Amino acid sequence: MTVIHVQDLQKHYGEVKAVDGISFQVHQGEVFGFLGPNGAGKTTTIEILEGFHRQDRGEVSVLGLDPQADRYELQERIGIMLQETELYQDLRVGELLRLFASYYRGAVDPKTLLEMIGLEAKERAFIRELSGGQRQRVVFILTLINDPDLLFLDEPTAGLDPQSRRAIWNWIDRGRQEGKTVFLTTHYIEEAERLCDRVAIIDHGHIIALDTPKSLMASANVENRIEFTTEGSLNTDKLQSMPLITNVVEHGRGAYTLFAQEAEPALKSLIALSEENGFRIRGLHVEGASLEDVFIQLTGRRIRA
Amino acid sequence: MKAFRHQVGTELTLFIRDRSVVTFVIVFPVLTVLFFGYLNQGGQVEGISYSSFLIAGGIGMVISSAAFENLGVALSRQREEGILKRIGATPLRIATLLGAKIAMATLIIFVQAGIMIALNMLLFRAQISGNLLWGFIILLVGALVFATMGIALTGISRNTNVASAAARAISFPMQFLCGTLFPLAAMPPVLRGLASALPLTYLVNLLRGVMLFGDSPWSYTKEWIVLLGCLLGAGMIAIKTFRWE
Repeated sequence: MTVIHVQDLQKHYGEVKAVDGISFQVHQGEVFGFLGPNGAGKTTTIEILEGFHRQDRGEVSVLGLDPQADRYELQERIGIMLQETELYQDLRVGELLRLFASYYRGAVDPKTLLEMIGLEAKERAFIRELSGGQRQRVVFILTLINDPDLLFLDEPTAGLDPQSRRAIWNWIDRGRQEGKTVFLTTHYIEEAERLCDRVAIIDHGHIIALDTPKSLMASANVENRIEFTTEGSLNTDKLQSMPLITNVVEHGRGAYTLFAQEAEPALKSLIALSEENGFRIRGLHVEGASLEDVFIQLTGRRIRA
Repeated sequence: MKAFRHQVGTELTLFIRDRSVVTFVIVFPVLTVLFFGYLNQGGQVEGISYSSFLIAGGIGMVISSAAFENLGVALSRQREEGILKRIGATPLRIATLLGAKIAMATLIIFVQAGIMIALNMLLFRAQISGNLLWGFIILLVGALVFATMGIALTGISRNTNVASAAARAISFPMQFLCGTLFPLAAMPPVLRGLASALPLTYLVNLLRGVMLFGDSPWSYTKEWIVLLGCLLGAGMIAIKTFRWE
């Protein structure tokens, strides 16, 4: 079932084409990501879907509703995390959650949400007393307070410490397991690869690629890097002659990088070779193609230039 | 209704927790009464004692201050900080949010008006010889009219700095010129002309006439028309120009 339907969406700000004719669909239960650099049109798109802005051209439908005409009905059923959220500093955490719960026809018990993020002890703390990570967790559970079918997360972990980032990733996973659909934007490669079922790569208001992270990486035609060390030196010709290996680099004594189109068969033949020749592989590290490689191949630039 | 109740509760909580605002809200009417009441002690204006005269004028002053400076500027600040945008990402109706803010401003106005009346009566023997119930109704209407104007002002101001400057530019002359502290008849014609262009003049006239002179509220047709016209106009501007960010 299609949850979000976007056809030929356009939005201009003066002379700037923030979004320049994009089309895509998001299906129920999937985590769909917009990956791209700052200024690519991610926030403009997500805020049109949320009902904050009206598009100049094109069709938009979210949960079968028109985000402009059916704004309030839509808000009942979605959860929104803005790129930057300011909260009432002088409210206590519990007060804030109960206030937001009162905005909806039906709401989850705030205590359950606080337990989920491990902040049940902070219910009586003022918002202004929370650390940055704690604040962002509270901002995150505000999106869940109406138990929405669909989550919009605009750069949900931007600027967060690794621990808070991983925590939020786990809760997004949990939401997916509960059948929620998630639309998120990010400029973090790892976030898109780790979370998204499908990723649209967006640049200058255009979608330049859209597929599963795996297919995108496969299509990028980027080689895998297999790094390992051994106790002694190896004959690089032997490594080079293994099937599917395109290149071998020796960095000093006993440290090698193999380049291969596909990692798995290359690893198998490397292990076979080690058994045949009696050397031990230490510090094995395999690095596949990343969405960054895909972006570079498509645009010639890095995502975070 | 549930959302409205919670929102009013939140506005009240936030107000009480902001000590500087609470202090200002109490000190402003107290100082006004003490200063002008003392200066004009025993004076007579338009056939009533100055302290009675000051009741209506002082209420006009607090209405203008609460509507423009407390409500208008605070709303603009919340918009600039991004609090409004997060609320815009929920099904809370704009009317509910603004209704709660108007209710809060009205409450502040009632507290200030109460201080004004009590001090004038206790310290300077002011007398309310007119209809108190009608005075209450007019106060309520006045709070609604000016609170709506405060919101409209936020809508047409680009940011908090503009809103704050505009609030002061409108509120300040109104607080002194509109027959609040001095009778209009005692002012030079130029200022009188200016006062007749300011809506607070009509509210103070109506309030004073009904509450202190004992006139019938229906003998003030012009005042009612101006106030309701302002409410309609400001209401339309407020709705048309409201934005979450």
